[in-house]
Amino acid sequence: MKLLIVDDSNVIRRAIAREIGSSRYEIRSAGNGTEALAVFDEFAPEIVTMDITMPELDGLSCVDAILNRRPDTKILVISALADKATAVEAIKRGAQGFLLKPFTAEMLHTELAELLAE
Amino acid sequence: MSEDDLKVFVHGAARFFSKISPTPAEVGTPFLRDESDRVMSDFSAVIGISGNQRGCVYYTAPRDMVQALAEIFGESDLSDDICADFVGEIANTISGNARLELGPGFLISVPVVIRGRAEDVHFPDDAPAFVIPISWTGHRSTLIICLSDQPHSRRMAAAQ
Amino acid sequence: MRYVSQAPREAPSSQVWLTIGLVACVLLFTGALFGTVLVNAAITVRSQANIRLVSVAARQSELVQRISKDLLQIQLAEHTNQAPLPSTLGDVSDAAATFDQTLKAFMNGGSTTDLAGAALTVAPLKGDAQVAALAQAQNAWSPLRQKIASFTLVAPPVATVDDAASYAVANGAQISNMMSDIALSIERTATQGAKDLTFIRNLLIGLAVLCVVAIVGILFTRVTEGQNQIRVYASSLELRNDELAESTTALAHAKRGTDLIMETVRQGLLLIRPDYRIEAQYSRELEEIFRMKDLAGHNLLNILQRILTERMYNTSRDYLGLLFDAKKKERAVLRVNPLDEVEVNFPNPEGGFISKYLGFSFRRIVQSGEITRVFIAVTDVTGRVQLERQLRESEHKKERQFELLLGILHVDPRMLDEFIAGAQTRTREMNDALKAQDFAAASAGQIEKLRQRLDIVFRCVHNIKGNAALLNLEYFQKTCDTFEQKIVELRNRPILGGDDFLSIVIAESDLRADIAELQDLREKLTGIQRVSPGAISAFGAHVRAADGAGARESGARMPDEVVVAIRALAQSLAIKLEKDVRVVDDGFDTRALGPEMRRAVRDVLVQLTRNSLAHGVETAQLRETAGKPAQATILIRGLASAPNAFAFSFRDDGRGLDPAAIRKRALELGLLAGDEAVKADESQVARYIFAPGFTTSNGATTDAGRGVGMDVVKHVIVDEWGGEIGVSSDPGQYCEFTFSLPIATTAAPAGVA
Repeated sequence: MKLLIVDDSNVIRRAIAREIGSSRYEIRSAGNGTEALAVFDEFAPEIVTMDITMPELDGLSCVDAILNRRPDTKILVISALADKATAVEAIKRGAQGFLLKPFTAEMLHTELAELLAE
Repeated sequence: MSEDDLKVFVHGAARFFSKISPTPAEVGTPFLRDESDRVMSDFSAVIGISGNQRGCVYYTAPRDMVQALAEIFGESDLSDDICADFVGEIANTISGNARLELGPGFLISVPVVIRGRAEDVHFPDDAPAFVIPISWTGHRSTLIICLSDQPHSRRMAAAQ
Repeated sequence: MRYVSQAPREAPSSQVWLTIGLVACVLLFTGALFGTVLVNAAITVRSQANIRLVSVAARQSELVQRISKDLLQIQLAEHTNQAPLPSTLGDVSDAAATFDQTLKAFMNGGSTTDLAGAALTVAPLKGDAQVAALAQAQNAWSPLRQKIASFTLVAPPVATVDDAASYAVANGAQISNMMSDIALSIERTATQGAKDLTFIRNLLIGLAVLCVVAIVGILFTRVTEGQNQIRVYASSLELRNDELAESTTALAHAKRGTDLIMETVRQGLLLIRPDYRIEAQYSRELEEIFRMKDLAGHNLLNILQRILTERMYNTSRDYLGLLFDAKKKERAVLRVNPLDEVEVNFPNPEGGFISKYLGFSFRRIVQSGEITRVFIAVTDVTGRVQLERQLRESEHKKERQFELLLGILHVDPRMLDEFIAGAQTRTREMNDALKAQDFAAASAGQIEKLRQRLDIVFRCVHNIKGNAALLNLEYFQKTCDTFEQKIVELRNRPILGGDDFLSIVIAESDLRADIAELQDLREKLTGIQRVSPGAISAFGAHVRAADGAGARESGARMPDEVVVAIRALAQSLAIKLEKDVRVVDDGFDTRALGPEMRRAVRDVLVQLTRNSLAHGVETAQLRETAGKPAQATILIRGLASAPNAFAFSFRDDGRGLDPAAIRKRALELGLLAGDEAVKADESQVARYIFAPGFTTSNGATTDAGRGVGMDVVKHVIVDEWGGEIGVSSDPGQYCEFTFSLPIATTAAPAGVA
């Protein structure tokens, strides 16, 4: 299972990777939307965890771009924005999951498991 | 409450006068309402605000000023009913301007004219009341803005 | 409904056969009827054709007779020497032609004309007797035909006529009879054919009658069977009616239960259709929650639009779309519910809004893969949210207060009281200045008035800031600093209007709130103090002991608290500005003064100290280079004065006033015209340091540099107390201010503290 972590914070990227890094996932990460698309094209992951607020290309636009390339990609949007409109917008654009920062490892696991079960 | 937000209301009121008469309104220095200040005048209207900030905006004007306004409109009937209508109209302009300027995070009510007993108006304790004198052709009317931040929306704004 | 629909499946198969039989009979009957009609038509057509044929055959015998008669007439005419009538001659010829044509038609088939002159196609006669009769007729006819063939319109020769006539008389009757026989024979044949057809017709009629009988029979059977079936149905219906009645009762029970739930549940429960319309069954509480009656059929979005902000409404609209979008996973959609806790506002008829918080939760209802409804539960969570908010606010307030408390723990409660009282006086003063009735347009004179107002506000803020610094209330220093920045920004504007002051009142309101909070805290502290006065006095004693050095220096008496405070202020400023300074008091004691004058003197000393540390006192390094002691000295002295006055001086051994810098700055500010600046001597120049906004320092810091300090000093001493100020300075050596304040006669006598 190939998973791409997109987050502008190195700390978060490492934390997620550390938490879910196992034989089950092959993990790559990207620090902004533009980079994410480049990695996506080459890596072709099944799952993407996507931060919303990022420099260059923001998360929502990135969700659009990824689903345009491969509509069956499962995207888990992870955002620190307590703004409910953003969450609704993410799902509307086709993300299948939403996780609010800060989150626990357990929450992340549950989300990913549910995402994969579908 | 930001300065820009307050200005929206002040400019709304000023806009009314510049639209209807060649004499623009003059905005006096604003001050904070003290407990003892009697700020309400003969005719008043209240606009409710909710959303990012919550509270009320009052516009209040003395009878002679409202009557002078009515005369500009060619109104010969200077009864209290007509005067109340005029104050309501000014408040409408303020409210409409606020709707336009404050954006989708606000809910702005249709103004309600307060008849009589305007001195009974209760100002909340937890929010300051900004009193802004607006004079026109020597008459002095007043805009009172009494708004408090919503802790919730403030947090949201910070998150954004 | 379910029971009835099952009944036909139990019908016996005989019914089906009967039905098939019935259908067959009906079809057969229809066919027979149709056949009868066809045959009848055929009979009619054929009989008409036969009638024509028979009449044509009959005509033959008639023709022969007519020819005989005409021949006799012609013979008679010729024998009486009369010319035969041409018409008669023509008749013979025509009749012969017609006979000939008709006979040929009968023999070989062909066409002839009927009695009406219409063309008639004749099939050759086939009966043996008929063929023989025709041959005979032909044999008898041929000679006559030859004899009259020569007849023209011109009278033929008598001999020919006679020959023809005699032959006609001799054979005419025979020919005529033959043709009659043929006619009769044709008629017979025709009648026989008609009989055949009539038989067929009768056969068909019989079949039709049979069919009718069969149909009636089947129907009767069916009715009988049906009656039996009905009886069966009726009994089962009865049974089912009983069942239905039972289940209706159960249903009614259930409905009563549901209704009861819908009536009493303290939650808005509703179902919406994909067009967002509310279904008829919803809980009563929903009407309370939405403050609206008869919600069935209403569009939920329209209701939300009225009570949400535009932004929230847009999000909600999108969200309802997601709820009905089968492509979106329910789990993900439910996760981002934007309405789980949402503020709604109902217009208040008395003006403004009634605000509430509602919590919405959603569930999809899926039937055969389609989202047909969404179930919604709405709860009024206003109480909970407000409680949470209060908790949060009080938590926040507690945190702030704790910070504030830490900031004021080191302060003598009485000093704190003075600070609060002073700050309140100053904020009142600034608000009163703003309240002044005269209006300010952008006209030239008014701008000056507005600037003056701004100066007053600045002075008040600066005063509060100074006192905050005195007590080391950093929080207030910062608040005042921000406030001052706003004023400076306005002061630099070329044009000022009333609405520019909005930022000022906002800052004022913030400052007031901070002061109120401090007062609140101070009152709480009083409570603590009452509980354990020992702790506070011990703390106070400690503070005083630490300042004991100054007391010993100036004599046996405990030093004035004002001096203690100024000393602390100087120390803290010195640390911050990396300077070294000591404060020495000499015969200075404000304890005999009234509290207000004491506060005024303290305010002045605060500004002087701040000014001194910021501008006057050099760094230790600079001082040593200039040959002065590294540690600077501030000397506060009580001066001898008239009995109804209080005089004191403030002196530092810093760099002193710089007349050149003052001149330059006064020129810049337009306080001095160019030639005046040259003429003005040093004592005159020194006066300008008291002008509002005057500073010679580049860049403002919290401690000084906004050029307000001396303005405050002048305002307090001269404007408020009617006192006098003196300045003396030696550049590079010292700067000294002397003050004299008149004391009101009611002032407390010296020594009472």
